[in-house]
Amino acid sequence: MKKVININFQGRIIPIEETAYATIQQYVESLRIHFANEEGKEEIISDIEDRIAELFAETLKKGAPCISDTDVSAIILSMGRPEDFDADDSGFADKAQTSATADAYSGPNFQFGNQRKLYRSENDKIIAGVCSGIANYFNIEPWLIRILFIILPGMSVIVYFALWIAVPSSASQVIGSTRKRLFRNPDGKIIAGVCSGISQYFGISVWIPRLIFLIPFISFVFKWSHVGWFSFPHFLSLSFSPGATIIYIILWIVLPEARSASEKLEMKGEKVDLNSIKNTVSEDLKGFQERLQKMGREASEYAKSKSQDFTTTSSFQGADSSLNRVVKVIVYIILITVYLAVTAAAFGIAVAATGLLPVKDFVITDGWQNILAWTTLLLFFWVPVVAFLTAATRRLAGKRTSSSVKISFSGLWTLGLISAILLVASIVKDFKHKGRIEENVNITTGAFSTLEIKSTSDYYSSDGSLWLKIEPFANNSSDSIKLKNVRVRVFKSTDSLYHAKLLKFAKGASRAQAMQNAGKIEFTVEQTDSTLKVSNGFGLSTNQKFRDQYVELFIYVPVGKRIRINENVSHGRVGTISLGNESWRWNDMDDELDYDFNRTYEMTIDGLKSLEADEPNPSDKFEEDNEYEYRYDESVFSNLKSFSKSRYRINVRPSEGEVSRDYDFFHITKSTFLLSKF
Amino acid sequence: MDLQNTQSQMRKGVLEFCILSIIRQGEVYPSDIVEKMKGANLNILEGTLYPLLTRLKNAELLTYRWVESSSGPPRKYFSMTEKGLTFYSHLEETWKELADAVHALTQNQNHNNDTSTFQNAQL
Repeated sequence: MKKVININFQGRIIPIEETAYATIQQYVESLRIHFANEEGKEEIISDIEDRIAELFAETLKKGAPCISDTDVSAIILSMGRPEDFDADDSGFADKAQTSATADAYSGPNFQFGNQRKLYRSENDKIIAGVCSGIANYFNIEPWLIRILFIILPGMSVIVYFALWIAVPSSASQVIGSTRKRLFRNPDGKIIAGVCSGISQYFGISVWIPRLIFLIPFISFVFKWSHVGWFSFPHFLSLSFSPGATIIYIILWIVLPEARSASEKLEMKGEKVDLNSIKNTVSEDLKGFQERLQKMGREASEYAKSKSQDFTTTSSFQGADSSLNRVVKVIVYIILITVYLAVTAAAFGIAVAATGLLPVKDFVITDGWQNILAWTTLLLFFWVPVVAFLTAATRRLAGKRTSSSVKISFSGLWTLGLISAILLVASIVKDFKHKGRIEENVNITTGAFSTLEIKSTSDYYSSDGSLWLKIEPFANNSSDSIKLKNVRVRVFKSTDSLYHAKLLKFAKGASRAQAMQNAGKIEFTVEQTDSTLKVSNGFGLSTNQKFRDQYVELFIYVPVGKRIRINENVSHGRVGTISLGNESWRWNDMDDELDYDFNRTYEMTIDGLKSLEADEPNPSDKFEEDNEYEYRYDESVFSNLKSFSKSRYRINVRPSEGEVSRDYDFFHITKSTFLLSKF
Repeated sequence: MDLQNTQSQMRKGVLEFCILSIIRQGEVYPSDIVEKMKGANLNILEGTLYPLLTRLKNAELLTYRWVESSSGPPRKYFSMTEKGLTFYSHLEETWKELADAVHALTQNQNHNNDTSTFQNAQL
């Protein structure tokens, strides 16, 4: 007794035995796998299905009550099984050629356009057939892969489980796959049906993936409208903003659209949820136990038989070819690692380049420079990432990346490269000429003996929450940034009065433009009695542009008068790039100032002289053993203007027979240094 | 040397030529092609024919139209394009040259059964 079901097959209602239906389903699936890499695959399958349906209809016309197993077998025999095609395949001449060349060339086979697909092997498995499947894919011995998985612990476990779940079992080829596949759903699409397809795959409502993909836009709206009720969670915008759109585009490219009815069924197919994964895993594990016991038995038998008739010749031969394959696998693994590293690096660079976006408006003029900046960012930095990921995903999905895709990616990137070069060239041009404007600052020389230079307020502290910070751009509020490129220099006055001079520097495409840029710097110096209040850096707006502006304040101190400069007044040209916890800093001032901050100096005929003793810095404590007190003859150091810096390095040349040594030393009093072994 | 492989290689070369020659004679339904080939003692699996037709169609050598059928949905009928005709005439030329060459060569070696060789080669 057989159960008969009615199916709608290519537009015909066919009564068919359930077992026969299963057979025909398997058959079509095997064809699908066979033609997986063929151009026009859908059409071929649909043509064949049409023909099968027609043959069914003919059988029924002859008076058969339903399609039986024998009918199906006869039809399959006349249509041919995929394994018969290879012997009989015509027209696919290039395929015959490639296989012929592959045979002739026995070296490592690195054809990336391989037709094979990765399956977990059902026939030769220990746990889930992952290793065996990989070995099968690369056409090598399974035990080599198994050893690799064992000697690479940690990572390999994760990889193994990932492959266990992601890679279909080879059984799916035979039994007729009811496994779900990820498609783009054309019926429920807004853009390309990616979200809808995902929702079908995971059996969730379609708004969930849509919402996830929309997060960057939602966060944008939040930022844009400045709604004060609650701020958008920072981590969401960080982790999804650059990613979601790109992931969407990649999925769009990679995923096929579910066109035919069978594909739509596959899309909705059997649920792939935790339960089904658990079932596969537990079934595989049950088998694992049995196989282990069997292997134990076999191993002992094998050892027994081998110990009796051990011949070296045959095993040598085996070792040679497997050595070849080990090299092959290692090369593969290295290639994959390099590929992943390059992809990760490209992604990192692209993210960093995107992080520079806020800076853009302060450097780049509007118009075509702006267009260049965007094309550079998208094409030069992001296209490689998308290309790498696309190629990798397609490869995992067992599809070859067509040359037209490759050409369009490299074309886009070349376009990006050209705009990058043009952009850099035009920016460099904007920095070509230097302009300087000098302004005299009036200072009254009062009864005070010390002129103190202070900043109008404490310098800003930059936003600590940013992942990528580039000073001076770190604290920009999207329409202005503050530069602290200010340095104060002290000179001897030629008369008995204090004088001051302000120098403003900037760069530009021409000298006139550079002068204009310098003129736009707003920097004030105000005197109240003995205090000189100096602007705390200067602001730049987006229409002013960053052109390496900086300010130098020259103070002329008469002999016998004193000066004291506060720390936050003079910074020099400073820059910091910090990425997470790492930071790189540069400052062109450290070596050229001949004074320390927060210390009072008196101008002498020889130059500035400090009036205070150094307090040794607590962080620079030396070990007792290495300390020496050294009295020196002042004349030795007479060529030094002052001993203002707290720390020096000197080389002490001892009397004959002793080793010469470098010492760090502190200047403690006028005639004493504290030395320590360097 | 694998005999079966060599034989199938030989067949592969002429299969397209044979199919094109059938289609050249007029619009056909794929299963008719199989029947005609069978009649000429050349067997082809339908599973091999469909992909081949699709490839030829994608190469614009063939075109098809849907023809309403009395029973069930419309069926695809294939016919030859201009491009296909030129393609076919080139193939025909090559085939004649090849057949002559093979004929001449094999005849020199097999004086005994000269007439049958040509016919066997065709199959």
